Amino acid sequence: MKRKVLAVVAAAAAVAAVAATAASGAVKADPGITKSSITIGGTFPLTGPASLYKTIPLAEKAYFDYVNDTQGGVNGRKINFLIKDDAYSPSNTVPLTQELVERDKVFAILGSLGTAPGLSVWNYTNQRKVPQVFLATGDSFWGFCATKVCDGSKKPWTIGWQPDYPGESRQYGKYIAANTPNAKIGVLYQNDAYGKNYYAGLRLGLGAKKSNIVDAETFDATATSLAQQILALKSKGADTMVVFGTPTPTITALVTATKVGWSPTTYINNVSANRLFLLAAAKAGANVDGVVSTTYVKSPTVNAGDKAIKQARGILQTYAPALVPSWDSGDSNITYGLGVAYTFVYALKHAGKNPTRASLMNALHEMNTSNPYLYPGIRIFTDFHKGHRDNFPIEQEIFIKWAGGATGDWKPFGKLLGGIR
Amino acid sequence: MLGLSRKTKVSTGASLPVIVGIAAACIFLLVGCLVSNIFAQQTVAGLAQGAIFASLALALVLIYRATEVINFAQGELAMATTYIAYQLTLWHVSYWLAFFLTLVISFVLGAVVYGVLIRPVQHRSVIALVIVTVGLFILIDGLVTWKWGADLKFMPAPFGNNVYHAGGVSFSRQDIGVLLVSILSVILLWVLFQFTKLGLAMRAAALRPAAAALVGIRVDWMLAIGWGLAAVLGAVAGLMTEPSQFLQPTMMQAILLYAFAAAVLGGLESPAGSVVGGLAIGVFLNLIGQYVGYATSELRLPIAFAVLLVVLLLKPTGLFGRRQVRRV
Repeated sequence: MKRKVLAVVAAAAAVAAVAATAASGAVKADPGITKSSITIGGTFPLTGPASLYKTIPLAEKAYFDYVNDTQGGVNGRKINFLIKDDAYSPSNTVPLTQELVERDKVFAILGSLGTAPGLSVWNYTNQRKVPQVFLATGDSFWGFCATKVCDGSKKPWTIGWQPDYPGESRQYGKYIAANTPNAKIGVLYQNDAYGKNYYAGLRLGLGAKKSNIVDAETFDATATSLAQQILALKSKGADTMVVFGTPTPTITALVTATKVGWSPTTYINNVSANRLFLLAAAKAGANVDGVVSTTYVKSPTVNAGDKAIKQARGILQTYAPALVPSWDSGDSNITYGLGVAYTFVYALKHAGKNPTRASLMNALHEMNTSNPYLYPGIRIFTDFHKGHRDNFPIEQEIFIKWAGGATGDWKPFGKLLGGIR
Repeated sequence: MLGLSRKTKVSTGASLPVIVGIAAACIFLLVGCLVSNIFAQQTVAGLAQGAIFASLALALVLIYRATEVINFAQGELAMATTYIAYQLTLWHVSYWLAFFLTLVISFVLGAVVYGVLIRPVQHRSVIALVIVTVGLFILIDGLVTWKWGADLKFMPAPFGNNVYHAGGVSFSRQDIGVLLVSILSVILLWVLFQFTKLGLAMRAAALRPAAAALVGIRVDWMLAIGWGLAAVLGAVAGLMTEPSQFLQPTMMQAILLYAFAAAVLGGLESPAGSVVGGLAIGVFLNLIGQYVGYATSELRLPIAFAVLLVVLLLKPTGLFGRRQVRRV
């Protein structure tokens, strides 16, 4: 009798266990997501040579904290954003991304910064089917490789954010060819894939006018001065200087040109056109008036009267007070971070009540929305499903020109430029 | 290792062919400058850059002579002292006052580094010393990043933006200033070594420590002063790098590489050699960049080192090196 009871109990327990497993299987969620939270993370250069960009992840975190507090997160799930410091070095990006995926069990990688760091883990994230979202780099791979075999396979789990670099430099080329057809162009570019992509885009944009390039000088990481290159450009008779570098060498180039008594019409790339960098260059002695670049985000100073920009300052004051001084000086990287976080929240809302990694990617692949932190008129648009293969969220920019010297600012001019990819 | 048997016979530094070669190079540069404006500008910019290499190379040579070790942390020390100057300017100290205060602080810092870190391991082995300087490199890098962060910082411009025009050639005041300050510090140091009792004592302590001690020279103090002076030269190099490279923890790493090359080119033991080496490398890099089409930026450094290799093959002790003959 006793034995029979035991058997029944055992059988009941077994049935219950199986049922429980089946039940949990039915609602089995992807890693990183629970009823009340969603964990995401990214790698960023908080230290090292590219640490100028560290305001980006801090702004993203501030925006998520704001959404968590004021809206209770997204669909009742608070966003937990993990920031890892890879110091811009792929050798750190790989283990840190694995740590995020395997130990911290993130739902998605968001905003990881840098081309080489991004490339170092995209095979991994795509094999593991972990969304690699809004990479903070303007290479064209992120857009094209969702449908094209790159680096061994297609990368449908990867999506970039900003307009791509060659597309941007094509605009400078077109502009120079149209407005100063007799310009003698001297190009100074970083001697790596980043700089070469920009240079190739410029030549495309110049079209037949690419013969106006009188000299192209390169520099690399071991350069201890840019005087040699700048003097060479000057000596070849260039009256227009186009600089494609990261912020530090770009600032150096602006300063050096002034110091050798050369004042060409200067174009710099968007990545280096943060107001902070121009102010720094001016403070170090550069003549920065008339420098031309492009932007796609609002500037905290130029667009100071804008509603979203005013509100953003309040968000920062509450959730990232350390960023406020930088914001007040016009750090457009902060608007960049806010914009990325804003659109991630948008995508998450459109990924369904119970988002999966796949449903998030679906949402990311069919965005058509505005973003209050982008320059007025710019839309976020992707179209991945209906025969189109558009995986570039932002494809518009506006020209900006500097005026006002060491206390000056950018002035947007002209119409919105489109098709930047 | 620093016993009496060392260097029993030395030949003089620069040999006749080397002096002739240097004179020929100078004449070549002079003629070039008179003939071509861009040549002149590139030469001056190269000399300014080379003077920075020379300052740091001289610091390396000073320490090599005193302690027989290549100080891998020399560049990082220079970077750290530049940050000290930056901190002073943040406290509203004027640039040039901060400059000289930094030199004093650097001197003390260099001497303390010797006393605390180098002296205890000095007589163990060269490897131990090298490891200590590499460790110091990492330590300084970490401390500076921890204190000031790794993002770009800017100091007030010491020389302003003026451009001097001379016969169609424009020289930037910054280049001239960097060149003058670096060369002046080198000359002052040479005077100290050549014409003062202290300099004599330091040379004696480095060359014949045991004998120097016997005549009453405090060898440890002299070596500490040597490290202090090297740190001062490094600080000059760092401060003169700042106007064109700005402040960041990596600012001196590439420059240290060139300084090594300059020191080796000059013969590693010769202060004059390291200065000539530094200036030569600075000018050479600028001129091949200007005139040799295929010498793009990725090839410039390899070309410079290939030339260095050729020089060392022809003259293994460097341009100004002394051949050491040991009596067996």
